[in-house]
Amino acid sequence: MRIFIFFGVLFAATKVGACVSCGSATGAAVRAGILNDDFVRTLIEVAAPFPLIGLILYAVNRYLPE
Amino acid sequence: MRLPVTRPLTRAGICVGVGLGGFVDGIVFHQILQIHSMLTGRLPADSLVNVEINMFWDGLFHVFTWVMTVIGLVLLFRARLVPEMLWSGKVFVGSCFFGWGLFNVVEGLMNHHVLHLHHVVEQRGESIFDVAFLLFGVLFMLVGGCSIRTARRHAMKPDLETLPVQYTASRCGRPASGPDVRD
Repeated sequence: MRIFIFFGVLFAATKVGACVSCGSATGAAVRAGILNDDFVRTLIEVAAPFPLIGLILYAVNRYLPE
Repeated sequence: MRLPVTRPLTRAGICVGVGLGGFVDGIVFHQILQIHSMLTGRLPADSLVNVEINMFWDGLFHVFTWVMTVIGLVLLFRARLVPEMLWSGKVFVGSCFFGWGLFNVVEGLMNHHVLHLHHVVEQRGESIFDVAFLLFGVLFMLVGGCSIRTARRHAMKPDLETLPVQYTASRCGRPASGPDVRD
């Protein structure tokens, strides 16, 4: 129960800041900056190195001596 | 004689190295030095809104590095099931360095040079620091690869200290181990 109260107070406190989930004007601007039309494209670009690294790891694992 | 197995340990080490290399980048460059963030090539960190948007994408980047680290730890845990495993610190640390270097090379090429999401020192744009980042990646891969090779070679060499003992024992008619099958 205490943990829920702790997080409740924490989330209430963050309302005064500019977090993504809060309702301030800055928060709304941040949300708009993240969840815009480029969201999926940016997500793919940020994630892009990791699938490539995965492929390289697969190749290394396949051709690595036992 | 069966050769010791190193592949599962190497695989796990590379995954851990990729994850930890990503954390080094995120913690040192994004958070402590704050010389770039994930999207500073497009959204310069000159306002609170831009800083927070960059922080969000930094967080997602850290999610991916965290996932790589967890995959590495799972592979390491599973490697314990391989009976002939060579549990070598040199192989594991070498693999981690190889993974770190691999992360630097791939992330550096894609994010700094192809997609231009950010540069190592954002104020300078595409600079010598981006090249240095790649070179350190290649260096780490070479150091890691050499360390793995050396450890494997060392493990495959016959134990030279015990050879004369075995030879002497067999000359005296007492085999070092197992039954005498000469007759």
